Amino acid sequence: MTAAAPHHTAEKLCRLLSDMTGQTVSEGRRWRIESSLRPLLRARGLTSLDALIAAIERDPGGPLAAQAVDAMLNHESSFFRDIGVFRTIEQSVLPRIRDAAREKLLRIWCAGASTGQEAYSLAMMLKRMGPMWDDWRISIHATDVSPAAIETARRGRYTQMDMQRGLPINELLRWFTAVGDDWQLSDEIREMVSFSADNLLDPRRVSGLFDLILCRNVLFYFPEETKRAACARLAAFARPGTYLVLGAGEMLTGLGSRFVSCRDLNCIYIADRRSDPTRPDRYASETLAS
Amino acid sequence: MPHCLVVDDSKVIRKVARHILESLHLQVDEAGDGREALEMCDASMPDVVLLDWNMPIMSGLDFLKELSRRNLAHPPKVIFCTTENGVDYIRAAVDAGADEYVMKPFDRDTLESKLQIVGVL
Repeated sequence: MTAAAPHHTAEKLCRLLSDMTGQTVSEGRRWRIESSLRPLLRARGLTSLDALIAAIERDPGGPLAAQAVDAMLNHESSFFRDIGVFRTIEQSVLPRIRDAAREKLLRIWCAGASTGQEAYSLAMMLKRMGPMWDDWRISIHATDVSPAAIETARRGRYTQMDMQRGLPINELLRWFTAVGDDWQLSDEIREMVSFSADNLLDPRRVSGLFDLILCRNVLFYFPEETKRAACARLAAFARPGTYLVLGAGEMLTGLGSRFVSCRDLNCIYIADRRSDPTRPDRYASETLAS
Repeated sequence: MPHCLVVDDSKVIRKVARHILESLHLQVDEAGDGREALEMCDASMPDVVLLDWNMPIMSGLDFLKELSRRNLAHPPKVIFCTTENGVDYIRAAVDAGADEYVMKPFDRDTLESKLQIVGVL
């Protein structure tokens, strides 16, 4: 099977993805649907995407629908992805957060964390920054809509190819152990990060306010109205001065967000300092209504 | 345009690496062993060396040790690119002065990320 999915079949699968995650697949990326679902078809002995849809419709709330959605999600991730952004976080954002902090508590949320490399990169970076964080309480929480991705993230075991993409060799030597053909991340780094399978549009296991939120290459997959809702959710967990990091090319223009661009820092936004820091939920409704 | 010297005794690997590196807008030269690479460095020092480990005449590790003895004011960045993927090999390369390490097989994303890490891209 090599041909792209017929239009009506792709449409049904896109609707399933949208219903369960809020994400859409642009016309230009629909060719990926068939290839991403091919392993699932093989594993289930199904001969076509139409057969998959029929099986899902026979058991709408069953595991097959979740597995199909999971297969269609983009799990692309790498350590220190877009290294320039990580340098900015290390050299500018984190020092600013530290200087402005009222207590020695640093809370970071990685929204759309996929298989964990981004969150672990931050943990390794904080270790590398050394004594300046020694007496701080640090919490990194990472979420992704895919339970399978979160399970991979929790394990902290990566293939050689995963390791090659973005991970500096000194970090590999310091924090990883070879296990057969794979590499296992140390408990010291793993224990710095907590994970939960949560949809950005309804993050039930996320609580409190964060100093730094990373939501990179996530908004890209949402239609305009859903982007507004997602921005509102991010804002609900921000205090004035919270930094938000987006992916390259992602912008908040026209989304009614309370985050404003840091003109001197590429891809970095900051929650409006003029906003009232109390009752964070208020921001969600305000932004949704705006 | 950054200048990269690809050092590998395999013509195929050199060809693949050249294709990727040129797509990343690097100027590429090739050497088939460490001795030839040293001669080319002495003639024109590259910004970065993509270096195989096991080669005839002079290995990658011996090349790196010879390069270190030159006490260059601006030494090239050195990225080992080898099938040797054990921790002992990686540590030996780093101890000898390698800046990064690529385990074969590699792809464009891998080389691009390593070149970014060493500051060439």
